[in-house]
Amino acid sequence: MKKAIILVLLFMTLLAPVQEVGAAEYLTYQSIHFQRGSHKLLSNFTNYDYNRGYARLSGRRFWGWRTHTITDNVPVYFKRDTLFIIKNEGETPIHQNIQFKTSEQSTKQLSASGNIGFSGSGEAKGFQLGLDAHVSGSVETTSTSYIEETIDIRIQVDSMTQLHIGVYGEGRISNGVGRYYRFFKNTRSGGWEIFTLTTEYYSIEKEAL
Amino acid sequence: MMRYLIGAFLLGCGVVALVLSTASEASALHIVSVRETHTYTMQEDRTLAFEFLANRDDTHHFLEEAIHGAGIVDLAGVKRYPLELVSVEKSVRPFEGEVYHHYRLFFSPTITGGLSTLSIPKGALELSYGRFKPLKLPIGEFNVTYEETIGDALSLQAIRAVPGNEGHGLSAKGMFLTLENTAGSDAVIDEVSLNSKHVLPDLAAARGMEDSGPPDDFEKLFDGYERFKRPEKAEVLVPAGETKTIFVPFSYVEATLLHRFPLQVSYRIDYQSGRLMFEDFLFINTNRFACENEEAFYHVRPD
Repeated sequence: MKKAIILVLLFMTLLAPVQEVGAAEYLTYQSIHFQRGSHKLLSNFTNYDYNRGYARLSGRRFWGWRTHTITDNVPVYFKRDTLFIIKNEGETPIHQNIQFKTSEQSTKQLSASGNIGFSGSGEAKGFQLGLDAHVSGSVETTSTSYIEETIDIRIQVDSMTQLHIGVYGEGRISNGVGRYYRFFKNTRSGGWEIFTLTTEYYSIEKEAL
Repeated sequence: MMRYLIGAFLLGCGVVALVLSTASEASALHIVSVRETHTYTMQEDRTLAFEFLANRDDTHHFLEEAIHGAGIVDLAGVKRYPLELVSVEKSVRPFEGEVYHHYRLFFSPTITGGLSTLSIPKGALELSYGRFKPLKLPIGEFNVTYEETIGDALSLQAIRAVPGNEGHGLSAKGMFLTLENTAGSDAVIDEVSLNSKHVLPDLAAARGMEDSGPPDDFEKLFDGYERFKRPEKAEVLVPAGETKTIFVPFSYVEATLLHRFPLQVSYRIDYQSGRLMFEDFLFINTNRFACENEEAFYHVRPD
């Protein structure tokens, strides 16, 4: 009985999600799910997933990264928070021009766990110690430089109502694990994840005030 | 000896000519535009945007100060809709393995009344430059409407388009509409229009929905639906005092891309006609040049 309890506890420890160190914007989306079932976000990796990933790394090396890709550029759907809420408390309908900017900065987002860190910030953000170069082969990027675009929408808001503009979309996820070696000694290990936003869709809903 | 010298000279000239012609061919200006549906309701403060890719950025064609006039013309040169250039945004985009300069040209309309509709099935943006030759860039379908809402019995509560690969590529395949009828009698919807001749909402195939469902269920909505036929006339009822959500598939009678559109719902209540206009619904933000269908693009190589 005692052995069984110990085994169950051990199993639960192995399945417990591991704390992430890097929080990217896509992790704050209301929901994000894979188009096909068996894939996981890095934030849902268990110790078992990590250990299985590490077991697939080739042997130690004198200096540099060993990486293993678990999810390779797999499509995901997501739902983000409401982009805009426009209120009209007046007695007549109003016409509103809404302008917002989209940028390349938000189309490629990184997250990491363990002691894999980031270097740079904004559009130049990357994984530390050149991990990008080892995993970028599995990531399909949609552009080659910084893009910022202005989006203009013209909208009518009826009297005593508010409009919610919601955002849905599609992206791609690549993730895996990695270990960094110095003089054959493992100095860093953890998980990495890259989210590439490909398309955003909008929905508009009206609500009475 | 002289013969050899002349021969060598002619050979040299030939090589130079060949090098020059190859160089000029490699750097010839190549402009790419997308065959899509541009459909607008038109007001004074409205902005229209058109996007192009060019392999060079050292020409006058997209220079704000070089553009003296602009308008949408039909390819036969009969109809013309004048526009005023507001600004030009520039960035870079990958296209077919090369880095291209991406231009977004913003215009304001110069005609904001007087017409009810203008429809150009195959349109081009014409740019004029003063002393340089004008440039015509095909853009696909271009329609404007000046229609306004008539009556307030029917109102739009929610709109959400369904994305999918239709026409040339990622485009609107249908939409969910939630409509509220505040009148004391039933409202009969007899037409839903996007002010497009190429993409027609199919009211005959519309169905009532309890819930729009998660996005990955969308494909099931089109099971058995014949997408490329001209829709038959049909009516949809919104009962008195009720709110109803319907799913309306779009029929593509011409291949195009549809990323934003106005919505026009025509209805009658107790033999009184009404019209609900929703001016501008941008449903998708995506890189239209990433489309994999070569039919989606126009290629222009100015002299």
